[in-house]
Amino acid sequence: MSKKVLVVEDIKNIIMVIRMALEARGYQVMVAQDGVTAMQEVFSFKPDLILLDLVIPKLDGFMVLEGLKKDEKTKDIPVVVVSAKAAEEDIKRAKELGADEYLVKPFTPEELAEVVGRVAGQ
Amino acid sequence: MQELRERGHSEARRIATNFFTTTMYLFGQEKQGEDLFNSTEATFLENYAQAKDNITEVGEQEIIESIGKLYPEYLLLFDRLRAADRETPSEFYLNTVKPHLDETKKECRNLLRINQNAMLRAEKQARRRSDYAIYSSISVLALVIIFGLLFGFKISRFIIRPLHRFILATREIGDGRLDYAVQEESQDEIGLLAQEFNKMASRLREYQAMNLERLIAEQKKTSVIVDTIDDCIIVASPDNRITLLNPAAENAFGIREDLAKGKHFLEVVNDERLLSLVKKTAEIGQGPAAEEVEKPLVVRRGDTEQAFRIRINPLKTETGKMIGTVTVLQDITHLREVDRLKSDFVSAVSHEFRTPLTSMLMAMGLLLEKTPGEINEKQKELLEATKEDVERLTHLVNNLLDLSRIESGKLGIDIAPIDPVQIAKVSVDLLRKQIDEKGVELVFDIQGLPSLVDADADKIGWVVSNIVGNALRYTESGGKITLGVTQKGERVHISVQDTGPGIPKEYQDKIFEKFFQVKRKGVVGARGAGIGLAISKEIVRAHGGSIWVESEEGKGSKFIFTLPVSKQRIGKDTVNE
Repeated sequence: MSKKVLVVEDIKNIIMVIRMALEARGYQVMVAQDGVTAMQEVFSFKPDLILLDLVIPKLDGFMVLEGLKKDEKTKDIPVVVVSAKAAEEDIKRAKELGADEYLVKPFTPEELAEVVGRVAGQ
Repeated sequence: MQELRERGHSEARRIATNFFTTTMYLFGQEKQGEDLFNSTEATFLENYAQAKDNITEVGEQEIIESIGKLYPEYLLLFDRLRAADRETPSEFYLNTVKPHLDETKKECRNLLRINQNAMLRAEKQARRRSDYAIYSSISVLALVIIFGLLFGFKISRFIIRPLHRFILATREIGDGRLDYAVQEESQDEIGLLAQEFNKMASRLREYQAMNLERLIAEQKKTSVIVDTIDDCIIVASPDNRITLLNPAAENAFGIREDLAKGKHFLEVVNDERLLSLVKKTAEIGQGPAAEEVEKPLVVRRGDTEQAFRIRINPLKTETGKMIGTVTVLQDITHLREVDRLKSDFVSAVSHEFRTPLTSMLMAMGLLLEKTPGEINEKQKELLEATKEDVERLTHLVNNLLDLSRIESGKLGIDIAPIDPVQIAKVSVDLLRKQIDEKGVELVFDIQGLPSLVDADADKIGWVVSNIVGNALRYTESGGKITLGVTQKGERVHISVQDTGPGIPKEYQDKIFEKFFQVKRKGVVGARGAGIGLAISKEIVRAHGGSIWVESEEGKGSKFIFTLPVSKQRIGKDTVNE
C-alpha cells in the first residue's frame, strides 16, 4: 500500500511539481492550500507524512506544526518543512516545534524524494 | 771727577816729597837730598801750575795763593839751611824751616781737603743725578703704561662695546624679537654696520609679517574647513588630552570645545576601544591598520544611535616629533541604514526568488526524469542547459542571502575546537568528483601537527570548498591544486594553491569585494557570481582570522586564510607544560 503524503502549500506551480514528483514515485498525494484545511485533512486523510510550507494563509506553518505536535493523535506523524525561509532561526524554531526535517527551497525532485523516502520510512 | 781726585793726590805727594827731601838733607845726605830736591821741584812746580790753572772750588784760590807765597819763602829757607852751619841745621830746621814747612803742609792738606770735599760733593751730585735719571725713567715708564692703558680702554670702548651691542642685538633677533634695533651712534664703519643691521631686521620684520599673514590665512582656511566638515575631528595631545574638537564632534559627543579642551580623551568619547587605538597611534606614531578600524564606532545618545567610521593619524612635526593624534570620525549612520535596507532587500529578493526557482528546478528535474513522458536528445540537451543555469541562479541566491545575513550579523557562528586538517579534507571530498572529471591533481601539504582551531566547522568547510571550487574553475586539465595546513604561532594557516592563470596585481585586493570579477580576455565561461570570496572573507573575519591572496600572473594563485588556535587547547598545553 502506497504511503500518503499531505502537501500543505498555497502556490499552484509548486503543488503541481511536488505532486508530480511524488506520484511518480508511488506516493498518494493530498493537498491543503491553507493552515485550517491542513488541520482538517490531517484527521480525514490520515497522512503518513506531511510536507508543510511555512508561509500559508489562515494559519501559518509554525502554528500548524505546533498544533500537530501538541495533539496526541497527530504528534507521531512525521513533518517535513518545505520552505523558502532559509534563516537559521526559522530552521531552529521548526526543529524545536518538532519538525523531522527541513527542506529549503529550491530543491530537485531527487532531493525531495530522498528526504521524503527517508522520513516516511522511519 | 776721577781726574780731580788724582790731581789732588799728586799735589799732596809733591809736597810730601819735598818734605822728605828736606829731611834727607837735614840728616847728612846732602847730595842725595839735593838731587831729589831738584827732581821733585820741577814736578812740584808743574803740579802747582796745573793746580793753579784748575781752580774750581771756593777757597782753593786763597790756598793756591798762600802756597804760592810759602813756596818762595821755603826756597829761601832751604837755601839758608844749605848755607847754614853744619852744626846747627837741626836747630835752624826745627825753629825756622819746620814751622814754615808745617804751614805749607797744612795749606797743602787744606788744598787736598777742599779737593776731596769737592770730589765727595761731585760724587754725591753724580749719585743724585743718577737717582734722578732712574726716577725720571720710572716716571716716564709709568706714564707710558698709564697712557697705554687709557688708550687701550678708550679703543676698547670704541670698538668692543659696539661689537657687544651687535652680539646682543643678534641674539635678540635670533630669539625672534625682530623690533630690536641697534643705535646708530657714529658715522664710521660701526655706524654703517648698525644701519645695515637695522635694515636687515626691518626686512626680517616685513618677511615675518608677510609669513604671519599667510600663516593666519592658512590657519583660517583650515579652521573653516575643520568647522564646516561633517566628520567629527578630535585632536589630542600625545598624552591623549583633547586639544581640538570641531562643531561636528561637539554635537556628536554633546560637549563644547572650550570645555573639552585639556580633558582626557575618554571623558569626551567614552569608548575604550577608540581610546586604545588613539593611544597606540600616539605611541608608535602610526595610524591603526585597516582591520583594526573596520568595526565602526557606535555612539548612543538617548534613543538615537550614530555609527562612525574611524580614522586615526599621528600628528608629527617635520622632524618627526610626535605632537598628537587626529581622530576623524565619519558619520556612517546613514550609510549603515542604506546598507541595512540593501541587506533587507537582498534578503527579500532572494527569498522571493526561491519559490519560482523551486518550480523551475523541479520541472526541469521531472522532465529529465521523463516523468511526464519521453524526450528526445535535443530536448534533453536544452533541458540540461536550462537546469544548469537554474542551479547557478539558485547558488547565487543562496550566496546572496548568506552574505546579507553575514553582513547583518545574523549568521550565527557556532565556535568549537575542531581539527583544521579534518575540515580541509572533508570539504574537498564534495569536490572530489569534479576534480577527477576535470583531470586536476589535488595534493595535501600538511606541515607538522597543527593545533585544533576555534571555528564553525560548517562555515569554514564552506570557505575551503569555495576557494578550492574557484581554483578548480581556473585550473586547466593537468594542473595541480595544493591544499596546505600549517601552524604559525597562535594561528593555523590554510592555503589553496593552484596552477591557474593568476590574478593581476591591481585586482588582488578587489577580489574580496562583492560582485567583483577579474575581467580576462579570451576567457569565457569560467566565472562565478563574484560573491564567494566576499562571503569567505566575512566568515574568516567573524572567526577573528584574515584572508589574502598571493598571486603572480601566469604562475597561479595562492589563497591563504588564518584561524586562531583553540584557546582550550592552549590552556591544556599550558597546564601540561
